[in-house]
Amino acid sequence: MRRTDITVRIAGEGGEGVISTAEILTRAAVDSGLDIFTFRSYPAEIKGGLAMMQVRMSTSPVGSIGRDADVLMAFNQEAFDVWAERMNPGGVVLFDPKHCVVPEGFSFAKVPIPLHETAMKETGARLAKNIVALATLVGTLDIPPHHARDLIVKQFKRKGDDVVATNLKAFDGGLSLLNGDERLAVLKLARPAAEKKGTGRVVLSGNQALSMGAIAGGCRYVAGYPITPATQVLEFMMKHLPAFGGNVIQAEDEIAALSSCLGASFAGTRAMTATSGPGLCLMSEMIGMASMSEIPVVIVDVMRCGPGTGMPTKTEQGDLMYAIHGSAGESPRIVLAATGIEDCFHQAVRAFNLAERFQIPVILLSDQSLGYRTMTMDTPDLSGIQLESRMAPAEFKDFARFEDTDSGVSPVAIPGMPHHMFVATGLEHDEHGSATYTPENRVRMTAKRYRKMDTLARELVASGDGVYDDGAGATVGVIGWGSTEGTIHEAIDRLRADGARVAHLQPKVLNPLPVPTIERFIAPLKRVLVLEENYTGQLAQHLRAHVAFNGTEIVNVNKSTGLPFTADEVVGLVGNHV
Amino acid sequence: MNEAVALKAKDYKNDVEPIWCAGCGDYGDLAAFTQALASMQLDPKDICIVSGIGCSGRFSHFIKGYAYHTAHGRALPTAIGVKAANPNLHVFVVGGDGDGFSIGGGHIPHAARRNPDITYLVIDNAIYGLTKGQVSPTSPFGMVSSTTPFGLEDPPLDPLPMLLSYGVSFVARGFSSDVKQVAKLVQEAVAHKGFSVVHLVSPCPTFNQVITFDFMKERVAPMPDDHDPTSLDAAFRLALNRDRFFTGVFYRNASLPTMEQKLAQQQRLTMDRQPRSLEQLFAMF
Repeated sequence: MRRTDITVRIAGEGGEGVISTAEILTRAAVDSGLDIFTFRSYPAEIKGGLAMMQVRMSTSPVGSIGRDADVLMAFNQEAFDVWAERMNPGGVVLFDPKHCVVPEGFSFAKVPIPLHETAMKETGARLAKNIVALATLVGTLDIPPHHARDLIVKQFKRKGDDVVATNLKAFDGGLSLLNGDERLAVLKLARPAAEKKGTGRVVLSGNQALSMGAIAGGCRYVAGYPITPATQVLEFMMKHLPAFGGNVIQAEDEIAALSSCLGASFAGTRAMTATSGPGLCLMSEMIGMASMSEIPVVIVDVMRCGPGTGMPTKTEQGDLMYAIHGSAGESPRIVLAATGIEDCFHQAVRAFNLAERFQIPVILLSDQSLGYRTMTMDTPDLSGIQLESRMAPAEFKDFARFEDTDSGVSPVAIPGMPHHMFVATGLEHDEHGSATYTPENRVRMTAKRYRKMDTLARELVASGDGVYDDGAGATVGVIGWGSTEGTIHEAIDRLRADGARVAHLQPKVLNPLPVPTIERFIAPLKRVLVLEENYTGQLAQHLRAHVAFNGTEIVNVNKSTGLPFTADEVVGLVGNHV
Repeated sequence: MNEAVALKAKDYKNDVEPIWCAGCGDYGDLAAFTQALASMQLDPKDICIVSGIGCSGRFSHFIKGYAYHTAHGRALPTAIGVKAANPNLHVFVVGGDGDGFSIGGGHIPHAARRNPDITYLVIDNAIYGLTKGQVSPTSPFGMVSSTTPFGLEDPPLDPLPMLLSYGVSFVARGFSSDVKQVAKLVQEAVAHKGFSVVHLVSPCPTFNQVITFDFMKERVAPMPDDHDPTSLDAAFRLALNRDRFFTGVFYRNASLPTMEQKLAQQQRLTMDRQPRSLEQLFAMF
């Protein structure tokens, strides 16, 4: 019986080609028609340190990292020592006997694969050992090898025919190592119904999907400063946005990045910056400035472990409170959290629409595990995307830039318009933008700015945002946010398969909260588990501050190791309560 | 714009009254600025003034045009965003010595490298005036202030050699009492294609009793007639002169591409190599 869902981990020294092996394997799997979900853990150093990439492959769509590995390819001893015990039942460890000794009494099946020796024999260079590893995995999983061969040719053709030939030789050498080993027969994958090459099926990381969503959302100015794990957004935009008529600037720091975005937006261009926690801290004065001067802007925070430099390459949902509150004084802003790869695309589009319509900073939260994971998805329906714009001033009408309206949204002019000159200022101001410090004006204008949040909150409830799954009469519910959605779905599916009833809500707009919707979700439940990848339970605090629980017990469920939840863990943690 | 509707200096001044003290050097700079705008007949709808925080940061509130009065030290990067988004705007940055050389000092070298076609007026009174009299980075050695009760122990930062060594492509200096000269310098700065900085020494009669109008008048000297502003070497020598405080255009390098030209080039190169529609972009993955 062939497998329909299998998870492979490839681990070794950073710089040994671990990640590129996994990337080619991923692409080969996708080209053969499989669905994939990848996750990577890599050291903060450029070379050295343990790198690991995990590839889950399935004949049907997968939305989470899965459980532990069914197959481990260990390039060296450290890879073995760290990962070999974390296997699913029936798992098989492949290892290079030159660099790895398996201890006595090791309980999982183990198969030596002479990566180094084969690479030396076939090519005379140890560098090709990752291609040998790729071949043994392709062979073991029984993915048709021509996909991987095509990818090798594509990857190396720029370096010349000799390099292509050498790597193909290493690949064939790797394939021939297997010789129908019985222990590997259990790892063969079922063939997907059809190959999906050229059908609009794409493999994207969260950072890539988010960048494309920004382009689709009309973003035409990006300024950023390199910071792990958000740098890929700046790199992607640098490579692609100018072809759409946009401009991208690598700023001297995050303060300059956001400042220049505000300048660009003031001049009428949709602008975005992408950063991580430390950069968000540096930007926080300008977030308040954007809020006060009512300039639309999108700020992406791909969260990592803090505080300080923390663990820059590890994941954490630690910036929620900072995103909602961080700045001088009280400054309204919208906070969104993308829940998956495809959602990164859609929330980025939405972030721009909300920023423009409400003339407000929008912080879009992602995290390392979401930014760096890759998944298969269909190309979204691009024709269905509608862009919303900021309210334009009426022609020749007496123009009050900060007019106190029912919605809180005021008309805004763009420099170059002949009759609507105004000053955007961080000073408290009246409806016309003139600096004014009277108590009455202060109260009125603060209320006007916050009224935009009320308007949005009402819309969210009316439009059914935060659609939830009531678990068909469940008395226990899970509230998660951001990147954990797919894992929670998978865990709940498994619990339901065992007869448990669990409700689930994953709100995407975290500020303002759609309070009535959340209260409706909570009302029938005895207990709500708030599941977060942080130590202090920030969403739980936020919910406690705004939502009436009326006797429903709220339980914080936290993981703050730097790694994302697995479905197994969630099954265990939630299973205790149902 | 034809002769019949020519705008005068006063037409560039809106009806907001400056909040500056009587005798403030900033009045001279404001008068010179509106004169310069009138001389160039810039269309107010295309003027965008970005200013920081400080007495001079209020400048943007007083001019007819669009303005962004931003956070302390952040006027320069804000203006870069404005110019990148709309190169047709006449973008000015106005701020003081604290705004430009202290809290925002890190932005100047990077603006110089990018070379946006904008004009930065640094209105230098060598004191923090809006916070009522603390030493600034250009305050003289020994100055007593509320934060230096026993006298300032650090030497002042020297703006012109700094701007020249950063590679600013147009560097000039003026004195706020010489309105005519300042107006001319502003015009020359605007005419320069690239990042132009005009350092305007503008005494604060309220909080700075050292760098006074009289002190400046004794030291100001016109730029020597034979100065060649295309010579960086000559510009440095004049800027480093401690005895005489030269005013005029120190340096001008019109051969550098502007930020806007570089961004346009980036667009052309990218359009040649990368997909220009989202459909095509998705197809790459």
